[in-house]
Order: sequence, then C-alpha cells, then structure tokens
Amino acid sequence: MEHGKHLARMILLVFLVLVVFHIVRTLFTPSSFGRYGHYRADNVAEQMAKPVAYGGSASCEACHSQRNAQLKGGSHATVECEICHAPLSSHVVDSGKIGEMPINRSTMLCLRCHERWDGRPGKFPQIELEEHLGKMGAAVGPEVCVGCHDSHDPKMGR
Amino acid sequence: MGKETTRRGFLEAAATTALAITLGRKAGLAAEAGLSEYNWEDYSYVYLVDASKCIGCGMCVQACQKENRVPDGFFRTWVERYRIGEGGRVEVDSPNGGINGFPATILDFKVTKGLFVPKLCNHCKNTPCTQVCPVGASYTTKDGVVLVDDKRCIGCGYCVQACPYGSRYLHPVSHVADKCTWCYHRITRGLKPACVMACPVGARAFGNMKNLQDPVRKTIATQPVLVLQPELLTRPNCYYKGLDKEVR
Repeated sequence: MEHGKHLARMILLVFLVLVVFHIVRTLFTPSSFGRYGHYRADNVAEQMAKPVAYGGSASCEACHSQRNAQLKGGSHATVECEICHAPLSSHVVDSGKIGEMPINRSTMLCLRCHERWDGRPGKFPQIELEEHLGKMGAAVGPEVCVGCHDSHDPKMGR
Repeated sequence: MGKETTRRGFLEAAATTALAITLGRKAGLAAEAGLSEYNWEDYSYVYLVDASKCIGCGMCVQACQKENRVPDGFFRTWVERYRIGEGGRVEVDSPNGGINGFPATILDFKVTKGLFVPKLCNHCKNTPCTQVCPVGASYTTKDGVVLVDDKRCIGCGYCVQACPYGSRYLHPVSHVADKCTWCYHRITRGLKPACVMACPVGARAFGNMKNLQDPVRKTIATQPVLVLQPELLTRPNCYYKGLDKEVR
C-alpha cells in the first residue's frame, strides 16, 4: 500500500498544478478573449470607437452649400474639400468651430496632380508649368495658378 | 439677410454634427453590446485599386496619415511609381510613400510606359500575419478586416516579418504592430476609408461582397482583376486592375 500513497500524492500534485495553471490563465486572459475567435472581442468595439477626422463633403455642405454647389458643378467635382484644405476635425468639433480651415493656394498643390510626369495616365489634364505659363505670358510664382483658375471650378472659358 | 443665412447654416450644421456624433457613439456602444446595430454578418469588405487611373498625387497617403495618426516615415498605405523602358529597364520609386507626390526626375533611359500603384494591407483571407501572432493580438473580424489589438500586442514583430506585402510596421512610440484597418472606425459608421474618399480620380474603391448591387462587387465579377503575389495563396481581399507584370 506504500505505492498507493505515492500515487495519491502524485495525483494531488498534478491536480494542484492544473488548478494553479487555470487560476493564472484566468487572471491573465482578458474576459472577452475568445468570444468570436482567438482574440480579445472588446478590441472590435475599441477600433470602431476611434475618432473620425475626415467628415466628407456632406459635412461641409451644411455651412458652405454655395461653395459645395460650385465645386460639384465643375471639373473638380471629385476632389473632396478636405483634401486641399484639412480634415474637418481641425475645424469643427461637436458642431462648434475650433479652428480656421487652412486655404492652400500654392502652385505646388496644383502641380501634385497636374504636372506632366512619366507614368501619369495620358488622358488626365497635365501641364509643363513653364511652357503653360509661357503661353499665357506669366512667370512661375508660388501662387500663380489661382491667378487665372478658380480652384473650385478650374476650367477656363466657361 | 446674410446674417440669418449664416445662423441657419450654423444650426443645420449643429444638428447634422450632433446626429453624426450620436450615431457614432451608438455604433461604439452597439459593438460593445454584441454588435446589434452594426451587424458585421452583413458585410464582407473588398478593396479595388485601378492602377490605370492613379495619377500619383499621394492625397490618399496624406489622408491616411491624418485620419489614423500614422507617424512620419511609416505608412499604412503608400504609392509606388513604376517606370519601364525597352529592354527590361525598370525604375521603381516611392519617395516618402508618395505622401507629397513624386519628383519629376529624369531617368537615363526612355520611359515607354509607366504606372502608379497604390499599395496597402491586402486583408488576406488566408493571412500569414495572424497565424504567427503568439498572443492573439492580430485577428480577422467577421466582416473580413485584419486588425491589431494594440493592448494585446507585445511588439515581437513576427507579423511584420510574416507579411509578404510589407503592410505592417512597429509603431515607433507605442512599439506595437500597426497596419491599415481599412479605417474600421469609418466603415462601420457607413463612411468610406479615408484613402478612398481622398482619391480624386476613383483609382481606389471600397465595397461589400454581400451587397448584390455593389459596384465594386460587380467589377470584380465581370472584369479582369488581379491580386498581388497570388502564388503565395494568401487570397487577398484587395483586387487590382491595370497592373503590369513588373508589379509585385
């Protein structure tokens, strides 16, 4: 019967190890872990709750309907307001204005899309700046484009 | 008169924003209460890039950085420029991810064709990155988005190495893995990802495969599309149109 005692001790030890393992595991595993899969389910809600920076043109429409209509009627209709200005979150928070919306008139901004580059789709309207300005009799300047083009409705002769 | 219009405009804006905030909050709470309002079973997201439309302006990269507070020098999405000449000459560049556009550099060969290729996480169906995560910090949601739990991640970097597309990086401040979420906080509120919204030429599109009327779903079903590195069997949910054989 001496061996039976050893066996009982061993079983007790294994049982204790399992209990300790289970307690430690429960302590260190977040409660929502494994609800949907091998991850912490609460993180999905955390990801969804992150703040939105860009509101889209619909949120600009509320205050700037005239500008929006002009933009949507012109050839820049697909250019979102916040892309040339800045994200809505820097301008309006909780329906209160918190800051000025920057206005970028720089030639560099226009050239990002409209300078002639290798690889740019041929059909897309693009220019060689100096050649284009030469035809117009103008010199390169930091805000030269907006001198002739209205950025909200840039097509000339309409 | 002008003053009244302003006041009215202001009130309208206030109402719209309040509504948006309420909806946003509800979405968050709904998620906590088991996703009752936003039902992820109704969505299976898919992304479509048309490289033949991309002009390389980099507005998408900029919008992504601002929307998701991506640290300088790291990218959740970036744009690559491929310039190809005769005789197999290829030049690929992506200066600062294309966030400020591309310089009009002159090459020592004549460029016969070229294209801009926007890249981002492919949100693979059979993704290597979540398989290697030792702590269950990387996972795929039921609507098909691969996310990183920043509270769970230990920053071991296995997933960064496992991703064959280079979509992940270790955040320099929080030291955990970070990547494109397809703007999960936006799409679950019914908005487009910031990069899709920012694209002025429609080179980026976002859709839901479970919506039978979805235009992106229709394009993928009816037109020739590719995925990047299909030989790896990762089964990306990000599809490409107008690629060249040089694009990896």
